[in-house]
Amino acid sequence: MALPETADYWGSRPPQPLVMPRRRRPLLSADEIRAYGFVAPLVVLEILFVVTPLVIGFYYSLHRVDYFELTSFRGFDNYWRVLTSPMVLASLAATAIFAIGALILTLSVGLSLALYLEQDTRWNIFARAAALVPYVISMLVGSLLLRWIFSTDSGLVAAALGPFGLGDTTILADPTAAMGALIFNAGWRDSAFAMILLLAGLKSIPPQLHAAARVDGASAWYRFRHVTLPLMRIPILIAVVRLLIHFVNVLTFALVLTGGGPNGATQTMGLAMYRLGFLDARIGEANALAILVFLFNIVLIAINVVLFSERRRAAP
Amino acid sequence: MSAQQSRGLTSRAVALAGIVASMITAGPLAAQTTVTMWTFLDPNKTSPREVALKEIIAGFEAANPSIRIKVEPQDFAQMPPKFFLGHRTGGNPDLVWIDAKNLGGLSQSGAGADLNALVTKAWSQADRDDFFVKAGWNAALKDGKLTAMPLFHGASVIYYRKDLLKAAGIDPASLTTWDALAAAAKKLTTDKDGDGRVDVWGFGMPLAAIKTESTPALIGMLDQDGGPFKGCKANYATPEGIKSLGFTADLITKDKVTPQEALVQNVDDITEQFTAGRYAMAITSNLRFSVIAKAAAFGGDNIGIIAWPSWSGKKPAPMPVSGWWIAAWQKSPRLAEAAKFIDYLASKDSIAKWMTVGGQVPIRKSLLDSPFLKQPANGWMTTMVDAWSTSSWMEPTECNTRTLQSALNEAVSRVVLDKVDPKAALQEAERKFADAQ
Repeated sequence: MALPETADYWGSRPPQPLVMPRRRRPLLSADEIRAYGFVAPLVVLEILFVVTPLVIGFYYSLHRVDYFELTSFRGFDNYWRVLTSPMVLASLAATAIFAIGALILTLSVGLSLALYLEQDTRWNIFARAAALVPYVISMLVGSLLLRWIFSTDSGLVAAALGPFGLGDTTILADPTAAMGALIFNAGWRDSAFAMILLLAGLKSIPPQLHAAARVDGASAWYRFRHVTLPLMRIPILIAVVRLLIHFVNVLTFALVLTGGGPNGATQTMGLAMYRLGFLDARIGEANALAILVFLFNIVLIAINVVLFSERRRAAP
Repeated sequence: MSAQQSRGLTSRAVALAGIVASMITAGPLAAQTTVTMWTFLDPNKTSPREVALKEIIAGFEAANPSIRIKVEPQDFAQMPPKFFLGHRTGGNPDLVWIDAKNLGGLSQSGAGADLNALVTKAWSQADRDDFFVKAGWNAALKDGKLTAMPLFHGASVIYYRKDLLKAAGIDPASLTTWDALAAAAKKLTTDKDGDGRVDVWGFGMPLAAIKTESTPALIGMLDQDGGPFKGCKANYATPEGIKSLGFTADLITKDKVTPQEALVQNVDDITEQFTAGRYAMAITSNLRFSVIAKAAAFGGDNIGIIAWPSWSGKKPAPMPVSGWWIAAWQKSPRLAEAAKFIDYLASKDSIAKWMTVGGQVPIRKSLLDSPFLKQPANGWMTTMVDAWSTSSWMEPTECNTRTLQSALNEAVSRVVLDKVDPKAALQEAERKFADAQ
């Protein structure tokens, strides 16, 4: 007997597959909730103290601001004014000279100290602590001390140069010498920071590599050139980026030591921002400059993050 | 419950509520009202002006037991911008001290209450006219509204060491022209021990771009017709301006009476150096007189102030007017109490206290014949009063004048270090002024 076309063996209902009802997965697991809980306070703080001021700063940068009142919308005119301002362009050049000079000095001294003080002897531990003194004292106090030292009238440098007939040598009022003093200030303070970063890198080099090279008759210079330096590539790059971020943004050295003078020769970007915002009351332009410097910082930070992840991958 | 009972209950409830309400409101009325004030002085410290402020507050609180003045000391440079920001965010004190460069901002931002309505409307005309530095009074007056009251006036002035000028045979009263000033500074620049290094420089000027004062580069051009501004447009590159800038640069390069290091020295540095005996004459603010006199190793009585020289010498160059004013916050919930304190601060007794204890030049005419001013040690105050009475000059408060001194100082650096033509350097300074508007 043929079954009717509209009906099947079970009647009018088609057969249903036998499956267990699926349990809905919770949006977040307990572990994820806990993890987000740990991160949340930091995120809230970042939003409050970094993102919000950044958004407000960007908003201000699009306006003319008189006594913190937004008086007219300028669009990107403030950015154009900043990018074409002779003062800002001069400060860009001063920042480049300062940052590169300070970087070279700081890294050279920091690496030398790290190599010299690598072994954990009593003397080296004491010397490392001594080298850290300029880094741990207040940046302002340190710069103020150096200001007195470089002063022509009463400074140690002038006193030391006196017997050679150079007692009236002007350091802080000479554009080139003042930049040298500013770089010295940075090197004096931050070499210890570079030393710490690089010392950590040196300690992570397996000692057997040096031992093997020594067995093969490699000289100290050869071992440094072909064992230490290649393995220190990432720590050095990290130190370079970190110090560069610091030197591009630092305000205290220039503000206290030279006040940006003479004739703007040592006026870095940080000081230009300070002058525009706090002294000249040009809040809109100061914010525009701050946003531009922030974008430059983002690039440097991105490089830093990439280097860190490379270092973690390379770690044994 | 009958309607009568209900009405009785209601009236009792209303009476009870009235009693409770009156108790609640009576509490704060009986308690003290605290008026908060921002100033750069700290009454808990011991400098002359701080002691004067402490005594004035104590006098006011004794006369007004229901009002307490709470001082919140601030950094003087950050105080005005912080106040303008607070006007937007709502976190301001009831009272604030304002300097000359921020009077325009106070008026434009609407943050300052009208003190004509709150304080001076009860004054007599003679009382108003008693404030003899008219430029200082009018600077805070706009469209009939007085947004700030002067407390004490200041100016960039030339300090000198009496002993050094006497030893060099120089009469300070003879320094009426710029040329006479340069010649005196040459005589006063000395190498005492013969080691080839200058021990005492003739003339100190704060020429750094921050923490500035007025220098001959500005004062020298105040003589010109119309002054250095046309509205809010700088007019520096004039024959008088070029002469003034050239004179200032020459003090370093040609006359060698000012060290090149002055190009990076701010007013704090110059003040310290003068106090330490490194300069025979120096520019700093007259507001610092009491502090300098107290700290000077060569003795406070040994310091004098001269009026600004001029090109002709017929009369002194205009004396700039700066200093400190007090303002009440427009949105303050305690405006009446704040105004009462301003009234007290502006009284003859308080101004006398600023003079005798705080070492400030009195700003009321009625105090000028005070025996205190006749004392030889206070001769400098008379010099200031005479100079302001003869000719005074105030920066245009309607413009952003914050770049005025710094741009002119940078112009001096351009001439000294880069050998730029003074006219070109002044045109650069004019552009900086224009950019800031």
